[in-house]
Amino acid sequence: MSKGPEWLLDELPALQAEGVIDAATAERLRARYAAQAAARTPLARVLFAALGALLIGMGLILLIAHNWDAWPRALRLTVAFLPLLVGQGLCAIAIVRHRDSVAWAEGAGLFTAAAFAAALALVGQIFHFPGDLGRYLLTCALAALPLVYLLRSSGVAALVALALLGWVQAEHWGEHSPLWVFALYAALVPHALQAWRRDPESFRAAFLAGWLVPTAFIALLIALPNGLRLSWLWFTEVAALLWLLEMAGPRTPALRLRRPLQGYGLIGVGASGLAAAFGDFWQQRAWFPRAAETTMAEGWIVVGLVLAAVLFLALRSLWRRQWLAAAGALPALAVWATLVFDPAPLATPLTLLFNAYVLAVGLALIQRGLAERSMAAANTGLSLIAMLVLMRFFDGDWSFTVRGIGFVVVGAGFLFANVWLKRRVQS
Amino acid sequence: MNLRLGLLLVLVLAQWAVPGYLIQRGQATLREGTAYKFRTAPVDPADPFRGRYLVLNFEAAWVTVPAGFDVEPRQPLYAPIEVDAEGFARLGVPQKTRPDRGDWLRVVTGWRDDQQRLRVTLPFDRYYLDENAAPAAERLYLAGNRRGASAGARPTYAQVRVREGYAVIEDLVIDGQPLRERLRDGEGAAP
Repeated sequence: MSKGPEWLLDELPALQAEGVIDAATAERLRARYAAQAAARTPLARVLFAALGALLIGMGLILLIAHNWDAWPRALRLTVAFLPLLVGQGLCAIAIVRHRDSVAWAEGAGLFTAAAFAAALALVGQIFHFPGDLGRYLLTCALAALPLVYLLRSSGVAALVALALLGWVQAEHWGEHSPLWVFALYAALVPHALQAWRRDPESFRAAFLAGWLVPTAFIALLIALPNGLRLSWLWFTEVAALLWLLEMAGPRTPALRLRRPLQGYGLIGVGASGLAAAFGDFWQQRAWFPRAAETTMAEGWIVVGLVLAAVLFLALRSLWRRQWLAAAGALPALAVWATLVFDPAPLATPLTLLFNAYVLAVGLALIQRGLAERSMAAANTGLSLIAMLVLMRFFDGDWSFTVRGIGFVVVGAGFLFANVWLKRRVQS
Repeated sequence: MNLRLGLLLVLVLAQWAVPGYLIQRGQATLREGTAYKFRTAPVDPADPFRGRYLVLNFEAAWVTVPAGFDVEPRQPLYAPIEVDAEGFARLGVPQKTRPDRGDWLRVVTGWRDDQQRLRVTLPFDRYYLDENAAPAAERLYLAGNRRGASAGARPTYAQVRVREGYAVIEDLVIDGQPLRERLRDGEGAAP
């Protein structure tokens, strides 16, 4: 069923026939909403073109995977390389004749990327290449990467990010170069920044941020050596970076689909603070770094670079008296500090500190939400406090009855607080 | 626009050069490489991109090394190819530099089952087949294996061409007969 302006335009004849509106009103409504409906069409067209090209490309890969063993080698190679030739031709047409068509760019780019992957798979099949899936995915990603910029194709950027993640996942653990993974993902950043600068609320900007950040984050999490020790550093500082980037804006961030980085930052800092509010978090022996090796050094360079960005943004926020923004860096800085001292003897005060921290951040978000009349921001703060209370129930040594009553009380409090906040925001 | 078209042309050339180089290297190895027979045991899994294949578990992947032979796990080395009295290939002691004479393979060290036997990863470990043919090939191998050598079963091996350290599997011979011939004759069909 169609939605929005399209739905209304579809309904107009029936409304007019039933006498709900007269002809003049129907005409005015048609004029009012036709433009909006037209403006919405390109996104659907882009999605269909991208999806169509991707499905055809994946179909080609599956057809090749069947292995047409009985065909002569030359014929199989010709059949496999024909789609690549067609895709490259479509890319040329997209550049020359359809410069402004996003649908053409996305369709041609995705099809060519898939056609290259299919052609390379067939060569591997014919010559019985060993099972090096990682190298295959890396080659596909590198061959598709220029299409991101030549065609300004965000679909290809998403595909490249996914292929890079597959490459990192397929390689043997501890054999990645974190700097190389970092550099490859960084190659996609200018494209995402360009989309964000044009319109930070656009579908393209939201899609790129929502897709590239988690794929790059997970890929580097896998690539970092000695994962257990570096993973918390990486998690807390990426969360802090996203929080600081979004908090520097004019409005308080909240969980909104159109601004996925806000959501990631809020969830990341919330999760970091909540994890640090448990005593076990500070008693892990795995904090201490292992002896230096090349990949270890590269891992430290990557986390060090992100830490430098976090420190810069946190200091800038402090300078501007943006206390809530600067507070987002605290879990990351605390985890970094544990590299120079053993936190286990200080587990209790650190746990208390982070319980207070989560509570303070939650209250500050509610206060900002009320001040800005943003129900989403107030609810985010409320959710953080509710999570803290619920976590304490799991952490405590209380009976099931006490916990049950506690859950009911917190749930009821959450509902009442929500109604109260809504009234405050509306008034 | 001209710049973008020029860059597209460079990309087109690169996208053709990668598989083109791989094809040229594979064809040259099949044409000019020395043929070796590697004893193997195949099983039948699938690759999401390249389809069904037979995993080849080669006897030559176990290398006898002298006592005190010290290598790190997952270390790339060069192993010279030797031929035993029955005409099958096996690998000599892997070394850090390319052998001066004879054919060799680039291997990656794995684990040891004792001080004398080292497991290595060979640069060929699978044989791609039509998605219907791969299970039939596995059935043929298992049938020969059940019969056993005492009952007249012949060896299963991969014929591999090697040229300048690069290897391409040319054919798979199951129970003494080329697999493709047996599949053409309809052998190995599901009961």
